[in-house]
Amino acid sequence: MITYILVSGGHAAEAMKIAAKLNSKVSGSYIVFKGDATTKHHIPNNDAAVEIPECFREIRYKNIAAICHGFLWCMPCLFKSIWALKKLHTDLVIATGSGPALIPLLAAKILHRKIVFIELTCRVKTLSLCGWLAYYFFADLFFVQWNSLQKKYPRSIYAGRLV
Amino acid sequence: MIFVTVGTGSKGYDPLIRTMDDLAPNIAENIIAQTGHGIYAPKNIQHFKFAPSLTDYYNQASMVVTTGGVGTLFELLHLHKKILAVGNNDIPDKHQSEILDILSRRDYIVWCKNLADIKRCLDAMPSITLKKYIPPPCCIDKVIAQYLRAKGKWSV
Repeated sequence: MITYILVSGGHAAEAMKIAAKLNSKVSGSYIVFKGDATTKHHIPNNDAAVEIPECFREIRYKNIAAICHGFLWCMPCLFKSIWALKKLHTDLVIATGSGPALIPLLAAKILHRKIVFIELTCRVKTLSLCGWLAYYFFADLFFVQWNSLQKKYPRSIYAGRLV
Repeated sequence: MIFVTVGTGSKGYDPLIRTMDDLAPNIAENIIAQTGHGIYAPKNIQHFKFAPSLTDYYNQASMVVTTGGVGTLFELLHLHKKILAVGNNDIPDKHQSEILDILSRRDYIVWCKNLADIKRCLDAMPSITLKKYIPPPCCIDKVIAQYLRAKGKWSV
């Protein structure tokens, strides 16, 4: 089972584009975040989806205390992510960022699931913070959508564009 | 008709809407604006917040003025519309400039880097010819499928 992590806006839109290409071959399930009401409309009716609490929507920490607070705050998200990946029988996680996707990716790493990260089309020269973390710490396959970016990150793969 | 859109971003982009509203009396063409989550209410132009689909507006427009949101940009590129893009500088790390830079250097869009110049850009638009966007073939799904097969996770 492939599980897609959907974060609102362009992230979910591009994740659904790859889901549409793969769904004919392998069944998909989805992780969405509480509060992302519009994102849920993307999900095909009969497909399994789990809603989890979100954290790291905006990463702006001023001091150590704020970072510690941030990590404590992400615990419910981490436990629910682990539970979700087990419940959905996930073999592979596909994420397109942004911040809220980090904790489900960490959960997938803890459970030794395979991870695919696709950097959004809007990134031409630099990786997003979430993409950068995924490139170095999480992803088994890392896609970029511009050739110029692939040259900067040799382990990444350029295989065309979703849009 | 000139269609102005700011997409679905969490704050809209009021500076663009306000500028177009101020310019409207000096522009012959009719202007319609989609203002999204912005709070500024235009006085001189027809406007609405959201619509289930903007395609009808795109089709009627002689050109579309938009921010650098990828969803909107590529939808318009696929429709071969004339695009004047203004980067939204209110969002984190101004990342819209990356995509606007490459698309404008390849002559798919016109990029107005500074809102103060927008009148000049609007005036220049009719004389500019832009290239048609042809997306590169995408085989991301095939690479993932191949990877899964190699890992024995998928029997296809």
